[in-house]
Amino acid sequence: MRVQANDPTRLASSPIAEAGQAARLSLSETHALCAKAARGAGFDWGLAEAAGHAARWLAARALPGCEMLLQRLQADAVRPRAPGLAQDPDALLCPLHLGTALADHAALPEVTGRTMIDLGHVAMPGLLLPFLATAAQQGVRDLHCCADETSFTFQADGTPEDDQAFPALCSVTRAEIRVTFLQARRPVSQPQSPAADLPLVPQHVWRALDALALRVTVPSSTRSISGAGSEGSDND
Amino acid sequence: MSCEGLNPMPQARAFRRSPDEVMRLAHMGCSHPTRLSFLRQLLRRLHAEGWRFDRPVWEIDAKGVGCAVYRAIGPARTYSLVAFAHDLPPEARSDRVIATAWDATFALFDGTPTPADLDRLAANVPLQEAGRISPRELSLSRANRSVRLFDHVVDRLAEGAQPDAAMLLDTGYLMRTTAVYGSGKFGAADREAIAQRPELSGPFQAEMLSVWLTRAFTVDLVEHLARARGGDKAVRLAPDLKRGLGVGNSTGLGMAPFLIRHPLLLNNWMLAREEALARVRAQTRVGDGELAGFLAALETARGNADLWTSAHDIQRAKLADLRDGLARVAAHVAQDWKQNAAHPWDDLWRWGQESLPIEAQEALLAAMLEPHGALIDGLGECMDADEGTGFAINGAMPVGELRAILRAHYGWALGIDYTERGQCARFWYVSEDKLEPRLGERHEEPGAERELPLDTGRQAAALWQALRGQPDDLPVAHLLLAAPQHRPAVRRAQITARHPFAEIRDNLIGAGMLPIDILRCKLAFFGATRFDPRSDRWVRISLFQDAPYPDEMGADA
Repeated sequence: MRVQANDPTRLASSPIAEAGQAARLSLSETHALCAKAARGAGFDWGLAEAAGHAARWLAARALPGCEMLLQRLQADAVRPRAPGLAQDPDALLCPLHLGTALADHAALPEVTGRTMIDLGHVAMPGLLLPFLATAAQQGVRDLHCCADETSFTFQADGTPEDDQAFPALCSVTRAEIRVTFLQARRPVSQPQSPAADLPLVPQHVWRALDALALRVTVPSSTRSISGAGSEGSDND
Repeated sequence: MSCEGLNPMPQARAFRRSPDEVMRLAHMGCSHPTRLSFLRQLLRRLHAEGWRFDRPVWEIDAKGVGCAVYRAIGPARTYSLVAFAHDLPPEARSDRVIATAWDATFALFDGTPTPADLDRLAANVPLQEAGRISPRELSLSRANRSVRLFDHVVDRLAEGAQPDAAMLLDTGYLMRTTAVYGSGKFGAADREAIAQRPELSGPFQAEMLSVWLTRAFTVDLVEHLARARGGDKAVRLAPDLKRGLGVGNSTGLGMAPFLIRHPLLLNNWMLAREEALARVRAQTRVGDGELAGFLAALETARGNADLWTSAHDIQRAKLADLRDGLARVAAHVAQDWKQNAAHPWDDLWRWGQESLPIEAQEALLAAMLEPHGALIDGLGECMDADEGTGFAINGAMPVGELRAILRAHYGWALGIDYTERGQCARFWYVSEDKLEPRLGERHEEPGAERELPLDTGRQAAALWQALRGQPDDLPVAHLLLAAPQHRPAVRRAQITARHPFAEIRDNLIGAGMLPIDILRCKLAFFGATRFDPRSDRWVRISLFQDAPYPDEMGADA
């Protein structure tokens, strides 16, 4: 496919490599690319938007959201029946389905009534981080998370107490996750956006996501082009 | 942000129009710019804060090729428009998809660019989408000459004469932009990186600044070329003629999904305007200054309506409505308006609602807001939105409550049979070759399975169906676990419950939907004038006509 220049409505362009074979995407580019890629990979738009949101949240913290999402889209993972509901102990759960379910249920008795929830084995567990932040906010409680041997806490306003464990969590392809909701220890404040450098996205990751994103596009028909803009020259 | 809880005039609420009225496309498609429009907000701030402007770089040759830098120096920060002027052969000039080159290309730089920055921008900005900018840039844009007028102006100025005033009025601008990208597009700074700055916290302020400085560049360029050609004989453009020039803009379908994808932002724009109208209607007297200001605004609106032309049938009918309606407003105000009524502005407004077509009602709204700056300008602060707050879904909401929200806010959507051909005639999609949003004909073109989720009414109706038979106390989270496809509709409904102006209350895939109605609404919030549709899905407009230039900023704004 050849992409021509000049369109007032263009949604994306091919990012130019900046450092070797990597490019720096803005957060809005990350969001749009990942949402469309998830949709192209077969997720419905609701989950696809959640995927875009998650990748953006991670990129804003210099974490490799694009890479993790791509790996998730390229591998199989199981959709959970409910957060914390007894699962096949060997099932590898989808972090997007699990994350949205946990955040949706965070203020409900099946979650608030329990001290600890065993979420099971999760694929690309780093993708769960944005949803854990949302779950803490929705439940208005601190959320302590154990992922294999590491642990960290989100405050009730969604900000991480300590993010040192995040890069390690984002580098593994699976982890066993357990979360505990705790009484909020500080008054809830407005979360501040971090100001980290945007992460570099390897060209092969961008290309693979872009290829998935292109699956949601439609070849232009003559008819659709005809009404979209000026037919003639701009010399008037 | 939402300023609802801080409203100093809660009594105005009783005068607010219903979203069921103003969020219909027929209504949105008659929007007029007001003093809350984004370009007006920008100019007020630049004036109030005493911003200074200079042009540290002007390296343009006699053919009009080279680079220029315009700086806007504010109390805390400086922004620079970096302009590249090109020599474009006529056959390459297009305002749409087939173009790969432009008469001029621009980037708004955060600060004062160094020579190294200018080198980097020179290698990328002229390529537009095929290049790459960085978080140091806030916008990327391009413009083409309005050739006939541009050449005429250069010719005349070079000969020592002024251009034909009628020609200037007819076109209204020397150059026309075809895209002004911001907010992270093509590597530019993300919105959240700059949204905390007071001067950029309002919507599209960086883009507006870029276009306003572009307007100064277009005039400098014709004067430069006239000097190059005419030497000492050449003259500068007369200030009154210069004032009447804006920057043109050609825009298409791709702008339409923005208002659908940004419900919180749309709500805050509409709510600010509606609250402004309500505040004016709630006034108990007509002050002398306000009356004079209103009459002047009405006169200006009538003058603009006379100059405003369009070849499009729909717009011509609207222009006839507008001219006729404004004449009737003027007659009513002179003869019948009860200025001693308990709420005189409300009295006028109610007369307008009963007597005027929507096109003229919305023009009356703009004129009524005009003299009430002290009362309403603060609402401009409420027109941005922290859209992250709307993303999380309240999974604990019981189905009964969600049902009540749909009943209260989506009545327009629930009664439609979306299996009927005409009700689902269109689908929104992204084109493969241009990556731009398009509108397809569902029953005649392939691709509907790749539809974008902009069918808001149909989604709401599908959610309504999914709720049938579900117990009232079932949490939404349980429903979504089984049926995640309803997430977008649940989110929109929950947003609309808190922000009633968030949703366009019309079927966006129906056969009769006119995308230009969505464009008109958005462009009016920008401050665009001379809305001139060329089809039902693309338009030309003008920005900053009759506004001051940077070198006039100290005098008035």
